[in-house]
Amino acid sequence: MSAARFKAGLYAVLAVLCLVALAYAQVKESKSYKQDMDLAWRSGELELSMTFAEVFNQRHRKRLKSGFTSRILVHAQLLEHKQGTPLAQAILQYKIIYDMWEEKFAVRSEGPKGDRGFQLGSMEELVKRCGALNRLQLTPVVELPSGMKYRIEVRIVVNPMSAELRKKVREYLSNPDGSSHIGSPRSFFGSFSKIFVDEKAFQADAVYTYRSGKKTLPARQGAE
Amino acid sequence: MKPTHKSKYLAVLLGGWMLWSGIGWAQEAAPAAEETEEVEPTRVELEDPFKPRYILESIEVRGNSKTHGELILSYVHLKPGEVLDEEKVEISRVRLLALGYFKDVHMSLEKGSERGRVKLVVEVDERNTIIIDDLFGGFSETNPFWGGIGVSDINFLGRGLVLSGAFVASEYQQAYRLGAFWPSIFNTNLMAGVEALVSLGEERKLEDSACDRDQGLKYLRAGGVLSLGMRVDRVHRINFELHGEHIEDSSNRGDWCDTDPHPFDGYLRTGQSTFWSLTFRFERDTRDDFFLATRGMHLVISVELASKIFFGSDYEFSKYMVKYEHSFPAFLDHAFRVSVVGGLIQDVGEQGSPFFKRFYVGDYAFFQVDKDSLPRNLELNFSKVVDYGDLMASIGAEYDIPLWSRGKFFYRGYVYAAANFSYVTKADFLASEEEWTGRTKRPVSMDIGMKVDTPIGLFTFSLGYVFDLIF
Repeated sequence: MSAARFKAGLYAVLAVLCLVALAYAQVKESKSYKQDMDLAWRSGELELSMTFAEVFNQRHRKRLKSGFTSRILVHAQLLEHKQGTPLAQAILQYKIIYDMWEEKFAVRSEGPKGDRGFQLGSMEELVKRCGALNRLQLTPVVELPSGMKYRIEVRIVVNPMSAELRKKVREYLSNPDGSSHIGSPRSFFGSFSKIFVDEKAFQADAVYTYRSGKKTLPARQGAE
Repeated sequence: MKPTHKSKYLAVLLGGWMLWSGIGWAQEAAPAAEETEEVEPTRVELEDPFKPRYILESIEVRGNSKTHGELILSYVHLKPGEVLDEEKVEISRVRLLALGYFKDVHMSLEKGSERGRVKLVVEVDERNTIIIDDLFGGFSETNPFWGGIGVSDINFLGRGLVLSGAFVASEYQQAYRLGAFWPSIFNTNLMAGVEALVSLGEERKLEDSACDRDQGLKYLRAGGVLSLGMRVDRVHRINFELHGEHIEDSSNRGDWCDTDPHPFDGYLRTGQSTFWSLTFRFERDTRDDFFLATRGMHLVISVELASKIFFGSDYEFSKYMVKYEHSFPAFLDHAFRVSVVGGLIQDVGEQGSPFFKRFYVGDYAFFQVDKDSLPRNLELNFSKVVDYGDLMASIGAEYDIPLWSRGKFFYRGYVYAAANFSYVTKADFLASEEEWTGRTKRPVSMDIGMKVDTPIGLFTFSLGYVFDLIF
C-alpha cells in the first residue's frame, strides 16, 4: 500500500469520525433536570414538594387551550442512592380540559389523597396549581431508617398515549414504500425513499425527568 | 442445472420459507413482548364530570401552503355532525404525522354557532418533503470515477404522490431512473407505482491470464416496472410487479478473446431482445421502528416469472427469493439483528435469465478491500468482478448502539458493527476456480459505521465502503 493511499484512508476515517462528532453535537437540550426538592416527615407521612413549571412550555399551553383533554402524569420515587432501589413512591395525575365558553380550566387530580375536581380561571393559576407538587405523600415500599442516603426522581409525562391507541398508531406508521426489494443494493450513503417517523415519539407529547442530589433521610417525626 | 438439483434446492428453500413463516406466525399468535411490556400509566376508570360532549360542526385546515386541503381532510376520521371523539382526533393526528409531510400537526377546537357545537381546526406545519434517496460515488479499475444521485419528493404537487428520479454515470456507463408511486390510492389500502429505467451499460472484464486485452459487454436497456400492491393489515403487504424492457447487445464480439467458456456467455441475447416478467411479493413487517428496530421481524418472499407467455419475452426463468430479519433488544437500549437471505434462479431453455437479474454478491455482502464487492448502482456494475450466479445465500448479524434522539437536524443516529457471510454461485457448479473470481472466494465481510435520520433522508456512513474505495 502506498503512503498516499494510506494517508487518504486516514483522512477518510477522520472525516467519518468528524461527522459522528458533529452529529452528536446536534442533540437537543435534554429534558432532564437536576433540582432541589423538599422531602420531610409531617404527621407521620413522608411528603415531597417541588415545582416543574418547565413542563408548561408554549406548545403545551397551546394544547391545554385546544379544547381537548390534557393529561399530566407524575411519578415520584424515592430511591436508594447507590443501587437505585425504590424506597417510596407516589403517582399523581391531572386531567385538564378548557371550557371555551366559560373560559375556565376544569381540573381533576387523582393521587394519594384521593380524587378532587376544581376549576381555574387562568393559565397562570393552572401553572401555579398543576406545575408543582405540594406535600405529595410518598408511600414507603420498605422500612425507611433515618440517616439513609437517598435521591429523588420525578418523571412527568405530558399526554401519555394509551396502550390501545399506541397499537393503532403502529398501523399507521407502517412503511408505505412499496419498493422494498430484497437485498437492495447499497450505495455510498445508502438511504431510503421515505422520511421515517419515530413511533416512540407518539408515546407521549413530552417526558420530563427531575432528579435531586444525594440527601440523607431525616428522622421520622410525628409518627404514632 | 439438472432436474435433481432443481428440486433439491427448491425443496430446501421452500422448507426454509415455511419454517421462517411459521416462526413469524407463531410469534404473532403469541402475545408480543413489546405489547406485554407496554405500561399503561394513564388508565383512568373514573367518570370525568368535566368532559363536555361536543357536536362537530365543521373542520378547517390551516397552515398548508403546498399540501391540498382535501388530502389532509381525507386522513381526518371525523365528519361534521358527529359527536366529537377525542381518540379519533388523536388517531387522525398520528395518521397525518405518519405521512411525513408535516413537522407538527396541532388539533384544536373553536366555538361553533351555538353552545355545544364546535369547529375542529387542523393546523399543520409543513416540512421539506424533498429527500435524497441515494448518493453514488467511487472509483475502480474498470470505471475510473462514477457518481450520481437519487432525489424524491414524497408529496409531489401536494397530492401525496412520490416522484423520484436518479442517475449514475461514469466514462463507460450511465443509468437514469424516473418513478412515481402512489402510497395510498384514494386513501385505501391499495398502492401503485410506475418506474422507467434507461441504462447504457458496459460489463468490463479486464485483461488476465486467459485474455491479453480488456473485453466489454455493451448494452442498452430501456423499460419500466408497473406495480400494484395492497396492505392486507398492519403488518402484511402483497405486491405485483410487471417488468418490461427492450434490450440491445451492441458488443463487438470481434474484440473478444476466443476462450471457452467466454466470461460473457449467456449474459444477453445477441442483438435486440425483449424482457418481460411478473413478480409476486409478500411482506410481513412487525418491526417496532423502521430506523432502529429493537424488536420484531421483517420477512419478504418473492417469486418472479419470466416466460414467453408474458408478451413474448425472449428470456425465460423463475426466480425465488426469501429474506428474514429479526431484531432483538440487547444491553441497555442497544439492538441486535440477524438476517438471512436466500435466492434461487431456475433458467428455462437456452437463454434463461439475463445477467442483470442474476445474483451479484456485492449486493448482499458488506464492503471489502480490493473492490471486488462494490454494490451495483441503479443495476450498473462498476466493479471489476462480473460474476453472476443463480444460487445465493447470505447470513448477517448487526449490533446497534443508539447515540442520540431528538436532534435538531440529525434527528437520530446510531453506530453499528456488522458481519456478513454471502455466497453466490452457479447452481450447476460448472464454474471453475479460475473462472469464478468473485467474492465467493472470500465470503466473510465486516463493516462499522453510523446511520443517521435527517429531514432530507437517511444516511449511512460506512467505514468499510470508504476503505473499499481507497484500498
